[in-house]
Parts: sequence; structure tokens; C-alpha cells
Amino acid sequence: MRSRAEWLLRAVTLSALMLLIWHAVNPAELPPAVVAARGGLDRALLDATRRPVATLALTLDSTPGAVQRDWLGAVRAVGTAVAWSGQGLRPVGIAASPVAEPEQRIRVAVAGADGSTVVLSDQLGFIDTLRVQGAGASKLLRTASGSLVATAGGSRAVATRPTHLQVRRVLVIASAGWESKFLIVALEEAGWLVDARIRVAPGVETRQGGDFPLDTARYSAVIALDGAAASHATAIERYVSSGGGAILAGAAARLPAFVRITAGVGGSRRTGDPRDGIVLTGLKADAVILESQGAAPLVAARRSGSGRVVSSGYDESWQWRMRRAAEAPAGHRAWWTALVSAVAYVPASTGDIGGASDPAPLAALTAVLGPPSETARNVAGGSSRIPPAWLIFGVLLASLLGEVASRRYRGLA
Amino acid sequence: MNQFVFCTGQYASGDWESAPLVPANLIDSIARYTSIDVAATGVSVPLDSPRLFEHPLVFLTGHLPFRLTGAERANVRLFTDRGGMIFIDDHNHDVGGIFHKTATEEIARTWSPIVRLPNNHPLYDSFFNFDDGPPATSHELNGWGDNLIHPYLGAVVRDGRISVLYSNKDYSSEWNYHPENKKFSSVDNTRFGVNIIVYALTS
Repeated sequence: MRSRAEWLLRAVTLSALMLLIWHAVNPAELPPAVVAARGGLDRALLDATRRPVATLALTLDSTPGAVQRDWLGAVRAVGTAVAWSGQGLRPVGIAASPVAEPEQRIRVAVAGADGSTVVLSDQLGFIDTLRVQGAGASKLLRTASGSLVATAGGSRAVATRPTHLQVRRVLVIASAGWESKFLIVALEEAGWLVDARIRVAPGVETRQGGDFPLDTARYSAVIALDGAAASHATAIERYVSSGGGAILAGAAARLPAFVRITAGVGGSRRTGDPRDGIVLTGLKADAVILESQGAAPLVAARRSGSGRVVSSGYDESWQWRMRRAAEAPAGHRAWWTALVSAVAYVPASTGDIGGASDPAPLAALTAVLGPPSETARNVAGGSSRIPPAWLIFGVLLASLLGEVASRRYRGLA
Repeated sequence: MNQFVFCTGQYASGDWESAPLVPANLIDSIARYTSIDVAATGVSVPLDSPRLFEHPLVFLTGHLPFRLTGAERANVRLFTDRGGMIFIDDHNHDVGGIFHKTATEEIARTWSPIVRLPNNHPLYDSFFNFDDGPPATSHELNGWGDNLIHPYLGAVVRDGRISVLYSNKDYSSEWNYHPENKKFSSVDNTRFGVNIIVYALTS
């Protein structure tokens, strides 16, 4: 019995010794520690840097930051195969851009899996929760502090806060009427500085604001509502070609004087309720439809020279403000502000405000390491079946001591 | 609908229709002097009607007590909140008259007390130039009513724009004649009416 036990201990000792030797000569086959957090990833990266291994398997519960990604890329570049998986990670992306409007809001667009929830926050904390529909979701922020962060699952995308755009004045050219009156009111309520040239009689214009030439040094956009703009057509075309924005609404979209720059001309068919407007026809090949009712295009845009032109079939938008529900004035104001913002000329932005951005961390990780693989999960899962070296050494020591002790005390009993 | 349609407001109390020729006369003047697309005939709309919002300038006149019902008051208040303008003229030309007393009370109750409109206000230059403020009416000059020439108009001004323009000068009588008869006047006395309409459309 004792003899059999001693043989067993010898076998264990030898097996442990073999395993230790195998460990020593095949370090690449030893799986690294399974990384379950970003702190763990730092440890694994340190180990892999100090003692290069052939394979690094990562199971991530959060997306690595830009520094960790670069480090992983460096480890991979010196010959270590890096495999990763992250079942809990959700794709998320964020972009923040300034809106060309007096209110100087920031448009934050997030992308993620359809139906997923993205938490938006800034340096001061939680802002809102956005539900991703189809391609993404967006939100207009009046203010933000520091970087903007979108979080989904363990993924965290960061965008720096953009600098505000400085918009300039808007010029309205029209005949006296409710459309021009309420357009000016709406724009001024939204904070735009509005100059106007309103024709009230043949050869007679009432003017609001200074009598400045139409150029991008003074104006962000010009809005023409009707035939009163015909006499300004040459100046408007020159202004657009130099980068200015123009909105040709109602009868102005039909003027032959604007045929070279317009996105589409107003036809004779009207849409009727709920928002009555003239259906645009003759859309230019490069025109993009911005708004339509059914198959009837009502607002379209195109580039012309260095500027942008929007053609709108709406010539009675003032009725939205006067007739509709309690929020009607705000809706009318927001609609016109968005349209002017879409074409407005603004000087080149000076860039973002400080901070490091990481707009799509999962995509960036995939770009550095390739797509997630089953290998990482298999290796990580297999790690529990291979005992660590210290445990093998302990078994070896115990079995060796047991075998020696057994022989030394043989016959004692 | 982009046409300018002259609108007379109907209110439940008093005699809102006391100056039936004023609309046609002002429409004639608008067509005569301006390029504004104006409808050939005006409309009358109850002050408590949703149709009021189709006509952002409303003319009110009368001799009798001017009282608004709760529905009328709520509707005209919303109307001016949206940017509409109301021109109220005292057909009596009498500061002690019942229309003046009740109308000024009603304006204060519905909006705020009227304030004196300075005579250099853009209203007086919106089309024709009236350097001395509102033009005097023949009824002020011939001793009728309170035998006073009222040198100012009153107004409720919001965000720099006139919401309610109040006249105690009896333009309702001054302009209440058939447009054909303008040919007998050396100076068209409806020119200030053109200013009010152009102001409403452009300011």
C-alpha cells in the first residue's frame, strides 16, 4: 500500500515537473489573465509589454480608451496576436456640431443599434436618454460643459464640444404682405438680425436696417418671397456664388431670373391642407428634397457656386402661426430658423473646444484589432482548465515531500 | 390667401357696423397708391371667431358702449399674442363719450392701459409722411364732439410693435364716404389709413 502511494506521488511529481517544463518552454501557449475591466486591461498590457507573449486574449466588459487601443496596437505590432471579445459591448458613436443660428445650439447626433438606448451626458453629468431609431438619434443642446459623452452598455463615445458659429444678418426681400411680415417677426423672435426691403408701391420700398450691399461680410442669408426680388436677382446670384445662402420661397422660386440657381420651380398645383404650398417641379438633377407631402416635393436644396439655395413652395406659412395650436408660433419660428440655418453662410469654424474625442470607440477598436473573435472566448474559457505555474509547483513540492517522507519513515510504524 | 383682405371686427355689444363705407374707401386707397395685392371687398368677422386669425389687421369702430364677452376677449388676446393688430376708432370723437370710456377700460382689461404713441413713431412714415403725427379730422376742426383736436393716438405696444392702435379722432366719420367722392377733395384724407395698413403689413 505504502509502495503504491509512493509510486503515485512520484508520478504526480514527475507530471508536475513536466507541466512546469512545458510552461517554461511554451510561454505563448499560456493564456494571459482574462481581462474583465479596463483596469485589468492595463495590467495585462503591462505584463505583455514586459514579457512578450505570442497570444493575448481579452474578454472586455467596456471599450478600451484611445491610449489602451494604441497600446494594444503596439503590442500587436511587435508580434503578439491579440484576440478580443466583448459580448456586453454595444456599438455607439457620437458627433457634435454647431448650428448656424443665433441661439448657438449644438446638434448632438448619436448612432447605435436600432432600438437601443444611449445615455447622453457632459462634464456636469446626465443630460438625456436617447432612443435610437433606425440610423440614430439627435438632440439640440442649448449648452454643454466640457466633452459630450454617449454611453451604451460598456461603450463610451466622447465628442468635444464644438465652438459656436457666428451668424450674420438676414436680408428679406418681398412685397408687403402677411408672409413677409410674419417671417420677419419669426426670425427676430428667434434672435436673427433682420434687414428687409419690402416693396409697397412701384419703385417704393420700405427698408428695415441699413442699406448695405448684399455680401457675405454682412449677411448670412437672403430670403426672397416673391417678384419683388426680381430686381435684386443679379446681386443674389453673385452673393450665392461667393458662398452666401439663399431661400427662394413662393413666387420667387418661379422667377425666371433665378433659373440658374434655384433647386426647383414652383408649379401650379397646390397641396392644400394640412400645410398648403406650391408643389415644386423641374427639380435640378443635383437638388435634394428636404420636405414633401406624399410624393409632392415642397422644399428642395442644392449647391450653387460656393453657396446653397433652398427652394420652398410654401408661400403662406404665416397661417401656421396664426391658425394652429398653442405651439404654432414656436413651430413657425423653428421651421424658418432651421431653413435659414441650412443655407446660412458662416465664417470658417475655429475648431473644437479642448478635450480628447473618441467618437466611435468600438469601431476604432475593430479598426486596430480586427473584429471580435471566438478565439478569445475559447482561450479565456480554457484558462480555468490549465492550473497556474504556482499551483503546479505547489503540487510538485507537496508530492515530492510526501514521497521522501514516506521513504524516510518506512517501517517506523 | 396672400391677398390683403380688409377686416371689420364684429363685437356683441354696440354698433360695430356704424361706418360701413370705410372698408371700401381704404381698399380703394390701398389699390390706388400701393402695389399691395388687396381684395376688392372686405369682410366682417366676429371677434370670437377662429376666422379672425385669417386677417391679422382688424378694424373696430362704434358709438355705443364697447364691451367684449369672455370669448371675444380671449380670442382677441390670443390674436394679438400671435402678432395680429387691432385698430380701434372712436366714432364719437368725444373723450367724455361712452365709447371712449368703455373702449379704454376694455383695452386695459384685455391687454394693458393704452399709452400715448409718439408723433415720430414709424407709423407716421410707413408710406405717407405725417410729420406732425396723426392728421386732424374735419370733425375735430368743426367743433363737433368734445371740440378738441387730439394730437396723439394711443396704443398698446408689444416687442416694439403696435398690437392695439386706438384713435379718438373719429376717422370712422372722416373716411365714411364713397371712394368716388375722393375726386372732390384736394387732399385725400384716407392717406393715413394707408399708413396704418402698410404699417400692419410691414412692421
